[in-house]
Amino acid sequence: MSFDLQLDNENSKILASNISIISSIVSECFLSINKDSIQIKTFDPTRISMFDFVLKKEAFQEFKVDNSFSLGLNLETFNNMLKTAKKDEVLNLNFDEREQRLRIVFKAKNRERSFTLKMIDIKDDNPPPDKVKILRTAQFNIDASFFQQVLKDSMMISDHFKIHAFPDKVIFSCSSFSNEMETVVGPESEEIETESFEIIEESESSYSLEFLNNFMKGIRSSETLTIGFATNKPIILEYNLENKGYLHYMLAPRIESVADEEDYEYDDEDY
Amino acid sequence: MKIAELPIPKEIIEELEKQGISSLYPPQTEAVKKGLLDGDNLVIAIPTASGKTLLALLAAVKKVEETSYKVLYLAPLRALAYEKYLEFKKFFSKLKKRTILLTGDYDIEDNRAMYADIIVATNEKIDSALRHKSKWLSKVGLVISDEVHLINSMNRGPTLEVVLAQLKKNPEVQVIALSATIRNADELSRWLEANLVSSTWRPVELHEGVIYGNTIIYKGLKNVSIPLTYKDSFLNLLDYVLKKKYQTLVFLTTRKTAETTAKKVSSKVSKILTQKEKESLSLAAARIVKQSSGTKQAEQIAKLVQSGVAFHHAGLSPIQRRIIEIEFKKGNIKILTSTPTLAAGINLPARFVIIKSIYRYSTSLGSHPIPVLEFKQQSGRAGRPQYDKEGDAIVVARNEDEAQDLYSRYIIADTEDIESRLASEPALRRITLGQIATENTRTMEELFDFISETFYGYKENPVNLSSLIKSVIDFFKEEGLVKNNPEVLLPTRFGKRVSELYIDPRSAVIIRSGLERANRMPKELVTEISILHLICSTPDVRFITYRKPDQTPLMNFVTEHEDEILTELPSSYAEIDIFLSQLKTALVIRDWINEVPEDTILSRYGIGSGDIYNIISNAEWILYSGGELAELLGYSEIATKIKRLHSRIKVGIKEELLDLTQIPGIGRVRARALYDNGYKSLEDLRKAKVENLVKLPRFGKELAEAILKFVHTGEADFSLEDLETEFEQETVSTSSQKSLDDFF
Repeated sequence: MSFDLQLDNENSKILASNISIISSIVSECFLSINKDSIQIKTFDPTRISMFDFVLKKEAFQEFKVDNSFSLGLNLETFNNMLKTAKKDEVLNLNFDEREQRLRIVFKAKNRERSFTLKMIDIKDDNPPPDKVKILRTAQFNIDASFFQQVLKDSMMISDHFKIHAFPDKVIFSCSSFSNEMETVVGPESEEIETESFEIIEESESSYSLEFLNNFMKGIRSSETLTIGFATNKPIILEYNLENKGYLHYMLAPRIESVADEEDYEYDDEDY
Repeated sequence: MKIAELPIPKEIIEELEKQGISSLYPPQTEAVKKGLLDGDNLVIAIPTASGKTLLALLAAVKKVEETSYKVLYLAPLRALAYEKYLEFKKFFSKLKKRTILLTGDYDIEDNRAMYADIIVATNEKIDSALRHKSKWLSKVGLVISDEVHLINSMNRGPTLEVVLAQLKKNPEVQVIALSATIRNADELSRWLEANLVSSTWRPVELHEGVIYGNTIIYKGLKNVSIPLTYKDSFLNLLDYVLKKKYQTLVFLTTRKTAETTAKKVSSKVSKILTQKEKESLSLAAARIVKQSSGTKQAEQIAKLVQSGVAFHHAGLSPIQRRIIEIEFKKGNIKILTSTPTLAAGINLPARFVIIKSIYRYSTSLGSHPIPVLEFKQQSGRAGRPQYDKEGDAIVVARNEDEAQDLYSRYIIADTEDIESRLASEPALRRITLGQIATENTRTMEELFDFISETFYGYKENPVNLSSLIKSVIDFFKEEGLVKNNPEVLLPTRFGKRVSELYIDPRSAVIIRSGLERANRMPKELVTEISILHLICSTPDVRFITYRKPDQTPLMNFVTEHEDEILTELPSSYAEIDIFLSQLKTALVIRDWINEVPEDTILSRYGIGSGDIYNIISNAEWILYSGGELAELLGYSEIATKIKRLHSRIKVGIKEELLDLTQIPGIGRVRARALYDNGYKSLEDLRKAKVENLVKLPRFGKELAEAILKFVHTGEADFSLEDLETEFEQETVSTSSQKSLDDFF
């Protein structure tokens, strides 16, 4: 089992920025390699959200893989190493089974820097399923900068918000004891791609802002995302890397539930 | 000793084992050996959390299983009675026995008690039952008196003593008195002709100490130095418990310091909460806000609760207090700051107890150090039997001298003896009238005989009280409560009624003279405020003291409404203070019954939700009594006025809603919704349709149907009674975070 990969400077930045997003939520995970792509598919430790990241061989200058296999990575360290890339460098990733180490080599004209990253044992009793099906009764493409603003507004008020999709609009809202936030946006707006707007039925669901924000922080604000969800079902955020691959993020909803009623009846005088 | 070896039913053994109780603690074993299950009287003086409730339970089980007698459990406070009631009900429903809670209303004989097996009640309620000569009392075979050391309390002690003195007279009755560890428990046991179990054994080791600077001086342990970050040792100690993640109870002197301290630590505490704790706390916070009709106070409390901190004092409404207590017991609230009220209240242990100050303020004594008994009640809250191996209770010293002083005065000291508080005029007034009115005692000698049965009488010669009692009886005769007969002491009709109403005889006299004046006044001058102020000027209503900023508005109010006041106007400065405070209390009630929003009342008078609640529940009874007295004295018009006010104070509504609140299930909020939507009377409702009613806030289909049934047939749907407390019916919804596993 071994591989030898090379990315030009632009694509190494794409890898780095995606690893950075994932590592903001997940610190250790498997990196799988097969003959067509590299992939990271992992739950966060709380199993509330999940990443699916694929970088296809089209993104690589060189893609030599002799077998399909997975490596346990310390993602934070990997991320820190990738971040050191300089403008004039290309990135090589080599792995040799005997050493159990990933070599990360930055090459420029007459210069070479390298790191080695030791593989780690990760216990994963319950890995993500191969095929994940996310039910979408509402879907649309939205400007990342706009969605980032909605998250920022919401976090002033609460730690979770609600998305309510109607055939003619989407409402993002949240409330606390005393304050409320509401953003309404229609398919004809600049922030949403009109032709992408597809609402099969009115859908309404709540999600944690902390998770969404950690994800969105790493997305460049000029990008466009696809959002899909259904009532009280997970939400999926899709960030497409053109023909090179994709980063999908799935997050479980918060579900309104009526509290179990305890016996609060209380008949009392002063102490 | 093993639980399984005890002669009690299997179901109870199983239930106890389910709770992890399989054997008895040493003091519990001693109690069993000294006759707990053999019908012997017992005084059990052991620390909190060392298993008094279990002993009470065992004795009660034995009694109801093997005899046809009832068990009476006496608690000094309603909150405690309620807590015990829940505990007992859980166990006794397994044996198909009925447990009931008796508190409040002193003027009716509670028929439910006739058919109950276990009756949990306050001492006051039983005192009134004794005055009404309730028949079920003769069916009681076991009396368990909780917190019997409160004999030492000025307010509640005399009643406790008198109730026990009367109940123990029946030779069939087994008396079990539960007490904190006190020095003269032997005297109590001799008074009650009981065996004594006295011990300082605790299931969780308690380390008491004093902190000065950054050094904790422990009794029996090495000194411990904690990190020194601040000059103030209290702050260092708070940092220390937070770092150690100890759940902590902090005792402070005033409400204000309890609140500010809670606020101060909240940001630090919120950082150590887990996701699960946060979720439970935000649920509790949301509940606090919903249950409190959104007052600023509630929002402030909710915010603290959300960060894992809370304060606890009498300004909290019962529901707020309850929610906080539950979250603390669950371990979600990490730091609870409290005024000393909590130590006397329900069982709320913590891993760590900090006593910030041993000073207490009272109107009679000014600022004074608390008794050792009270200190031990606070420090005894340290150590949770189900979680901890040890507990720490640390008192904060301001300087080295004080550290020495606190150490010798509290840490290594014995508790004081408890004493009878019977020998005071207010106590004797109530007790003597009670005895004369029930015709238990018809002469001075008989009165002395009665007093000799009390704890006072056990220790002192009742004849020592003769001059006090004589002046009380002179007062009764002068005021027509007792007939002017030199031979025998017989109650007048007035005196008998006053005793039944269970109010201070002096309150009755004040009310009577106010009523006489009202009767002479032009009708239009007898207003809401006339009556409310009269009620608030009796010693039975604990007034709220006025603050400086209240003075001018109150004085202006007096000038404008002078003609409506039914008492003498004050003539000295001291009298003015009390007068204005009583007036302020009356104005709070006036706002309440005029549906002024709670938030406005709170800010207008600078009080807490709990204060409103206390004033209302306190004044409600005196208002009821006022109505009864007015009727007895033949002032029927005023009686009607008072009775209408009484109906209004119970729900907190304007006169116009009275008609609607007759419907079971309709409280102040729903009545207001009906009225404002055009349903102003039962007559209007007869024309209403279910479809229309369900559109109103807080009206469901079931309720709407039941209302219509009631207005058409006069029949109340039984389930409607359950809806009566509309605030509690509201469900709080919250969102809980799902995991992706729930969907894949």
